[in-house]
Amino acid sequence: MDLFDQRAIADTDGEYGLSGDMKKTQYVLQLLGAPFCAETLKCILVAAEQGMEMNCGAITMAELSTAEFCSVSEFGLAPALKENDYFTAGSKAITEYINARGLGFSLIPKNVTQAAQQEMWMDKSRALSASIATLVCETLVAGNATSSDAESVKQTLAAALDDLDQQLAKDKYLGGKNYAMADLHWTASCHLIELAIPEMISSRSHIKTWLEGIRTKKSNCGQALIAASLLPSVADIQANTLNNVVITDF
Amino acid sequence: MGLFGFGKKKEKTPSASENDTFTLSGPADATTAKCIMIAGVRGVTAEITINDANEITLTHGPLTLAGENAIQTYLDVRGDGAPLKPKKARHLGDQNRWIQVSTQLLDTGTEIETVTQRMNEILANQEYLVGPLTQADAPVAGSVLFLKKAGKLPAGLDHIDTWLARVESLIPEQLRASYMAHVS
Repeated sequence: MDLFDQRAIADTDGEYGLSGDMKKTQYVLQLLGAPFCAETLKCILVAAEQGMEMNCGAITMAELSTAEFCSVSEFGLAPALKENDYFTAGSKAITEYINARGLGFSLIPKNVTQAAQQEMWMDKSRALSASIATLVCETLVAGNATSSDAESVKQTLAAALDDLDQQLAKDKYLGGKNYAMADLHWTASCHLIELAIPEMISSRSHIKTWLEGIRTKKSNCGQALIAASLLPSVADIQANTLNNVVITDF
Repeated sequence: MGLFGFGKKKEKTPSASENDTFTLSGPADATTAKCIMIAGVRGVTAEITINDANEITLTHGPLTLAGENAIQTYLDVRGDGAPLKPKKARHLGDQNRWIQVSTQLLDTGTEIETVTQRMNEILANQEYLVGPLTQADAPVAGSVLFLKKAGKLPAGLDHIDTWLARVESLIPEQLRASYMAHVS
């Protein structure tokens, strides 16, 4: 039994797709990641948006370099994904894999200029993930919101959030009129920032409105599921647990 | 055009023509090396400028893009021939895993030996990193060439050397010497 089967247990009784009843979604996905990691949350969001059931298990930073984790994720790259006999790792690999496998329309624009501009916003979000993890761990886990690490991270995040707020003043979504992959990336980032320091989001009106809209938006695949509702709460982060993506209306 | 739009021709993004002017400019780092390799493998003629900027940018007419992922996405479609982005989800997952490995582990110098040894084993049995040629080969080759230039690539990785030569040969002859002069 590998680490996926220990932490992100695939229940063989009655789970979506396990009996091979769907053409594209044959197997339940299994994900290993951490609730304070924005890259992990992006994988959960894309699975929910694309209607792919996913069982999620938490790992700790210390476990990333263990032989047990490296046996399921070469080089210890996280988050890590398993679908039956297929393994991949890293949020870029996982989000695009699920986007291609899922049931909804693609979250990557067909227009190449728009797709490239989305990539720039995704890169900006990825570049902040380590800072966000530090902020969340300092404020919510260690309870040390005024540490020097947290203070320096706040300045980095404030500048990035100002850019995001300006962009969202121009359009409903980062991709223009339609919700797309870059919005999904920033939803994960903004959710964690808001849990740690709510004023960083509430003081930026365009981000606040955009995030409220995403928190009421039905999933991309049309199932009765709001992807953002699966993001972790403060209690989930403190307990180091992740929510599974469960589809009930298939 | 028939009823309900059937028969309507899909508008495809055109490949770059010889008159298109692309400019790549960025610092002398691994990311710039990757983007030069991407432009080369996609057969895009670009003016290359190495400067003190913080990040690599591509300009094409009024459009300016920053960062290797945006540039990769754009040049893959704008370049010669069919895009290299795989249609199979598994190949897409593998391709993007290698792109992330090169950014997180090779460019930062954290796992050079482990990653290159594994690459060498894989490339002993297949022509390219994922099997078929994908978007991963050019940027990962850029990372490896940058390590080689800095004297950080372990010796004796023959299959990597063969693969590098294979990727280099995909760059059109008229561009090859000038592009490779920037990365090797």
